[in-house]
This record gives sequence, C-alpha cells and structure tokens, in this order.
Amino acid sequence: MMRIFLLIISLNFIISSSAFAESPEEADCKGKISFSTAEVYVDSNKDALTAYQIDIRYDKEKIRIVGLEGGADGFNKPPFYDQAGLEGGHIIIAAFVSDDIQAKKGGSRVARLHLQTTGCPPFELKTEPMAAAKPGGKSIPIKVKIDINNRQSFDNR
Amino acid sequence: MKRKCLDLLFVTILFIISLQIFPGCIEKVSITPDKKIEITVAPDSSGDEDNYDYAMKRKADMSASDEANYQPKFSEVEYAERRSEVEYSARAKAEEMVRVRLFKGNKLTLEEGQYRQNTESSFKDEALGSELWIIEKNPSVIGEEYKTESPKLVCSLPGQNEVILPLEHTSVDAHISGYIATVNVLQKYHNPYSEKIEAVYIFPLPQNAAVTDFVMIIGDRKIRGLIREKEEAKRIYEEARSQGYRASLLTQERPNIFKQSVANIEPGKRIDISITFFNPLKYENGEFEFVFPTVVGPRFNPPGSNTGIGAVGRGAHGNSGQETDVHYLKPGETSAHDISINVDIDAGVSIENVYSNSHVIKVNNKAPSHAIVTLSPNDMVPNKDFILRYKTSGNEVKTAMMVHKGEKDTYFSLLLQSPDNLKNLPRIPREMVFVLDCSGSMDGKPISKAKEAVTRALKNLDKNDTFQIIQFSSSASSLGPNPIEANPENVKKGLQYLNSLYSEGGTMMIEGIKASLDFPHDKRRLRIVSFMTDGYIGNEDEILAAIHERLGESRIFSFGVGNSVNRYLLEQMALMGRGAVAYVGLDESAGEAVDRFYDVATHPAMANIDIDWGNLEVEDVYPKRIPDLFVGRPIMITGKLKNTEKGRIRINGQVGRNESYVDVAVDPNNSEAKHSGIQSVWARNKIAELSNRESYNPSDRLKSEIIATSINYNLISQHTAFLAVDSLERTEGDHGYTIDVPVPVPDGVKYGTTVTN
Repeated sequence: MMRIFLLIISLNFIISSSAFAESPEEADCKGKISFSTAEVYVDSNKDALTAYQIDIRYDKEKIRIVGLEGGADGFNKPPFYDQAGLEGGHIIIAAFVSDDIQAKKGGSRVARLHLQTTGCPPFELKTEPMAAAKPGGKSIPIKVKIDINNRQSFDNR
Repeated sequence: MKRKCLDLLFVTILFIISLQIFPGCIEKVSITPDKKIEITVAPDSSGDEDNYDYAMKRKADMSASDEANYQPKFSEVEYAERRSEVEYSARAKAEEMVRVRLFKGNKLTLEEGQYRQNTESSFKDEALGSELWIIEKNPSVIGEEYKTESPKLVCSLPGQNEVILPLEHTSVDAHISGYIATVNVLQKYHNPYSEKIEAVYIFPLPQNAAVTDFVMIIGDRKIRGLIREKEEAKRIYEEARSQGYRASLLTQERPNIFKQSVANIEPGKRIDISITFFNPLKYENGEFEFVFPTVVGPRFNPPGSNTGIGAVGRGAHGNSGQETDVHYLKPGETSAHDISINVDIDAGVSIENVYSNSHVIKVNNKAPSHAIVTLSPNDMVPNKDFILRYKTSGNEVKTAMMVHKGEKDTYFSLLLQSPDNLKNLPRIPREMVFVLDCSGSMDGKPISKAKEAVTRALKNLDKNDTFQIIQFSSSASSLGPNPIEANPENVKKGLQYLNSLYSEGGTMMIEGIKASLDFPHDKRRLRIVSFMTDGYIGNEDEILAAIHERLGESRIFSFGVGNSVNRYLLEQMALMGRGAVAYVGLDESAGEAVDRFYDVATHPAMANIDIDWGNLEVEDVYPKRIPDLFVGRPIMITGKLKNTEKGRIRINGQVGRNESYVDVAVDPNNSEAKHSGIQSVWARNKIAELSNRESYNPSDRLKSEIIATSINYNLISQHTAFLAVDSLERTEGDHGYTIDVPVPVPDGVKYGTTVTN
C-alpha cells in the first residue's frame, strides 16, 4: 500500500513538473527587459475629432510607460497626461487639435506610447474612452484601438 | 564632388584665429542666405593674462593694496614678441586665408568671391589694429543631415584651444504675467564626432523653479517625458541606453542644479531637450527681478564628503571624489556654446525702466504694459547670471492675491507687503557680526567687493551698535574674542583687520556658522549675522541644519557677492535665519547695495507674523513659519482655498516692541488675478518645506511625501526625475562615449583656486 501511495505521489510530481515546465521561448523572455511602442487610434465615425481623453490601464509589473508622443495630423503634439495613477498601472491621456480644420472624421492615430516591457508577451493595454468632442465642443462617441508593435489589439473595455 | 565640398564649406566649420591686440573675440559668424559671411566682434568680454593692455586695465581697476602686489604676466616687449610668433604660426597652418581688419563691436560682411578667391584681401577700413585670419577647412563630419544653423565658431586668442561641444546652444524664452514667469529652456544637442555619444550636462535653474514639463525632440517628433521615482527612472534610462535607444533623463542634484543626460546621439544627428518651469519673481523696493542663472559655480566639498558637487577640469573623472562633477573649461579653452534669452513682460500695468546690470539687452516696448526684452547677440557667453529688473507704475504691487482653480482644489498665492507708514520705525541697536568668506573662490574681485561692502557697513554703524568680524576659509578666526563697541577707534581697528584679510583655501562655512552663532547673545541688541559669500559649497544641507540648530534669537542676512552665486543657499540661509538676502554683482556698486540692505536689516517692519484669514478657509499654507516682513520686500504665501468669498485678512505681528496688525482686502474671484502656474508654485513650496525639514531631520516618511507630491503635481524634486525614451527604433552599435559638457568658470572666478585638476 505504501509503495502504491509513493508511486502515485511520484507520478503526480513528474506530471505537474512537466505541465509547469517552461518552454524554451518562455525561458528566453523571462525577466527580459525590452522596449516597444503602442499606437493609439481613435475612430470617431462620421464626426470630426477635435479632442479626446482616454483611460489606459496595464499590468505595471510588465509594462512601464516611458514616453508619450503625438500621433498624426492635428494630434501630432505629445498628449498631456494625468500621472496620479502612473505608479499603479494607470494613465489618462488627453489632447486636442489647435485648429478645427485639422479635425478628421473616421480613424485618427492620436498618440504613440513608448513602453518598457518586462518578461514575456502578451503585453496588454486596456483602454476606455472618457470623453471626445467635435468642432463646437459637442460630445461624441468614439472607439479606441491600441496597436502594439504592429500586433492588432482591439481592446475596448 | 569638389563643388559639393565647397558648398558644404558655407555651412561648416570656420576656424578663425584672431590676432587681436585688445582683448575680446569674434562672438558670432553667420552665413546669410546670399552666402555672405557676417562677423560680429564683441566688445571686451573676457580677461586674458596674455594681453598686456588687458593686464594694465586690470591693474587700474584694483584697490591700492592689491595693485601694489600685482604683476602682469609678461612685459610689454614680451607681449609683442608673442604676438609676432602667433602670426607666423597661423600663416603656416593656413590652407587658404583672408586677412581682414575689423572695428571692435562692428559687423563686417565679406562677399563670397573675396572670401574664396583672394588669399589676401584688403579692407581699408579704419581699424583698431585688429587683424583676422579666416581659414577654411574641410568639415570633420560629412553627411547630408549634418547642417548647422551657422558655422561652428571657434574664438581663439593666441594659445587658446577650441573645444567642440555636443551642446550647441541654449535658448530661454520667458513669459511674465503678473509676478509669475513661465519659462521654456531649449537645449540643442548634436554629435560632431564619428561615434555615438551620450551627452551629460550639469546646469543651473532658479532655485524656486517649479519644473513641470520635459520633452525630447528628435527631428519633427516630440516625446513628452514622465516623472518617476528617481532610482527607477535611472534604471530605465540605463537599460534604454545600453540597448541603443535614444533616451533622456533630467535629475535634480540641488534645488538650483540639474543634470541632463542624453543617450545614443548618433554621429551628425541632433536631439533637443525642452524644459518648462514656473518661477515667481522677486519684488524688492518697487522693482520686479527676473533672474536666470547660466553656469554652476565651482563648489568646495568638506574633506570626507562624497555627496557634494565636484569641480574638475574638462575630461577629468573621479578626481573630486564626489557623485556629481561639473567639468570646467581650462584656462585658454573656449567653446561655441552660447545662450539666447527672450523675456516677454505682460505686466498688466504700465512698465517703467526695464534694465539689466548684468548683460546688454534690447527692449521693445509693444505697449505701455507690454515689453519684449532680448539679450544682445554680443553678450551670449553663458558665464554669469542674467538679471532683469523693471518697475511698474505706482510703488506697490497692484494685485495682492492670485488664484487658480484646479480640477480638485483651488490654489492661491498672496503677496504681503508692508504699509508705507512703517518706514519710519525707530532703529534697533544691533550686534553686527560680519562673516567674510575668504576661500579660494573669492580670490580677486569677489573679495574686493565683499571688503568694500563691509567697509561701508562699518562706517554706517551707530554708536549704540557693537560689531565683530569673522573670516572663514579652511578654518575661522575673528577680530577679537567678543563684539566691540562701534566707536571711531574700534571701527578703525576693524578696517585694518579687514584690509589684512586675503583669500585662499577651502570653504569650511560650518566653521563660520559656529563662530558667528555659538557665542553668548547680547540681549540688549538684535544680533544680525551677515554672511558675505559666493555660496560655492557642496554641503548646503549641513549648513542649513547647523543654522536651524544654533539660530536662537539671531537673524541671518546673507549677502551674495559675485556674478553667479549660489542663490539657493543664500535664500535658504536668509529664510531659515529669519532675515533677508541681497546680491551685488562684480560690476555693481557695493556701496549702494549695502546701504539698501542694511537699511532693511535695521528696520524689520513686522516680526513674528501670524495671519487671521477671516472668512476665508485655507489649508496647506506655505511657508509654515512666515518670515519677518521688511519694508519694500513683500513675502509670498501660497496655499489652498476651500472657499472663494471676498474678505479681509488680518496680519498680526510685532512692530518694534509693540503688537500690531494690518488688514488687507482680498477677492479670490477677481478675474484679472488668475495664473495657471500657481498650482505648481504651491506644490514647489510644499516640496521646499518638506525638503528643509528633511535637511535636518531626514526620514522615510518625509521622502515618501516628497515623492508623492512630486508625482501628483508633475514636478521634479530631489527624489524624482523626468525620463523620456524613444522606443520606436534602436540605434546601431553600443551606447558610445559619454561626453561631460564642460562649462566656463563663472565670470570673476579663478580656475586655479577653485577647480580640481
């Protein structure tokens, strides 16, 4: 009986070790520090986008934001940010076009986040639009998309 | 190919060797769009012991005692021989050259044809005897991206060497609204070498600057940096640098000293850094004062310390034993780094008499209340504080309170000014203790100025006063064991003692503090301890802690002597010492500065101040302990408002020996009295208060509170840093060489007595 018991324990140990064993790829990237970028796109549909405010959350153990860059056209200046949650894996970015003529309909690349990543992918950034406006200041609905290093990620909460 | 090289010559380096008889140098060379060369010759701006006429002029400026001991470096004959030698060697080195003659302080435009075709062009202008040899050389770095706005200029006097820097230019743009300036500093870095580099630059900012924004600019791209805890920011920066990413890190070494590191600048490429800060102006005796420091003075660090600021020669590493070193250009070395300053004053009331005693400026009066001030292109060497002053109409600040409604809180700043009727208060008998810095950095003009100031002050003493004179350098000594009465015989003794003092050795200011505060206080008199110093020390915290411990009933009045003094130390000594601070530049009258200053010291308008806020609800008011109020010197108080009702506040305090009060009407809703920078100024004051406490009673709690305030309000502090990384693309190769940007020794300071080689 004792032998059977020990055999079962040993088999369990072997099986669980195999299940949790790292793959070669995981061993490669474990603890590795890298740098990458995330493009932030806003889809304002039929409305011209003049301003936005977006809440972005991430795992602070895996991602650090190390720079904020503007996007394209009217949003080419670096966005402003609320740093209160920065240490907790949370940032709010906001920007506006200085001239309504620069406001575009449909999709706009509004910002680029510069990231330091630690460990293995996937690295996820969850976004929630907080506010957006069209010329005249009227509030409009938007969708937000994050594109991390050309890997598409639709991640609206 | 030949044509391309020749074309590139117009946008590349010109080496100009100036064989000037008079001191001074070529300050600017630029290529105009139609390919003419414009050369601007500066007025005398630097001393040069190799020049006989300068030596004679210097001698004429000296006091009698100093003049007797002065010897020029060479005789007149020797100077002439040296000049001939250099002429010959310049000709031998030239590949193609043009010899021209110039007026000092004038511009001369050369036509392209003359410049290129004639080896000896003659301009028959009436010259002051100056000659220029302009030598064309091929650029050391060839590349389509490598363009300079103007040819890199080397101003070389005989025996001088050019030092090529990765920092080309600093531009400062300030906008003043009310009494707060919003200032943007743009530093332009480039790589003139053939390998990748990291540039490291130690530079000053005003000691009360609230640095709130940091942007790294690469071509058309702008990357905003984020504020982080300092050690974490350093780790991220080092990792980015080692992996080849362009990155920049801004850290605070002292409240007025910052370190900018820019990694992975590729050969021929540029990276610009933009820093923005808010800065409340000083208001004194009816004038606003805007100060922008341009160079960190060489600091002395007590033996055994390693957390100070070292002063080393260019390229020296580890010589000072300190964590941070400022590298100084050696005698005979110059650089092309220059600074431009533009100040836009939007005062809200009529502006009168805009002037600067430190620099040559141009004032453009756009409107009675709006003026734009520009630094002269002939005065752009960054080796002294830029000081701008102006009056506004009337003799008092019009708006006492300014507010800013933030997202969560409303912030205010309040200028408390003493009423005019307190100007004629009776004079209090004083126990004057003059403490004179006789360290090596004070050698030359600074100590002459300091002696001039003390001489004036001694002669103004009243018969009811007593005085003591203490000198400190590596140790301290005094006129006598105790203060003596200010009768004519004793004043004469004091003057003799003063004249016997000379400068050499280190700056053990702690010995001066102990000597001036540790002896028994004469209770019949107000003890005023007046420090006359440039403040060039690296152990500010130790000094401030010593003052906090020993002050008692004394007052400290700090007197900054020099063109680039340590204003942070001097202001904090005065704040902690419940006194005031004054400055005298090397080219200003010490007598006038002393008369104004000691008039203030003799007449504190109101002491032991406490404010009754009436129906205003306030919290988090800084400074916690309100300084004494002096006539003509308002105090700024910042805090948070919980309501914004109009009201009347009462300032209670002591006037002479009597209790008194002053009522001030305030209206937080005054639409003219708003400024978005007030929130940052308040947060900066809170960090300053916490930091002062940390200097004499450090704790983890204080450190955490400083970090939290810094991050919440996006302000740099001693425990946080701004960091920006361009993660988009990696540069090739390893991280290259680290180049510490050397700076000139401040105007009036001697390299030999201050810098460790």
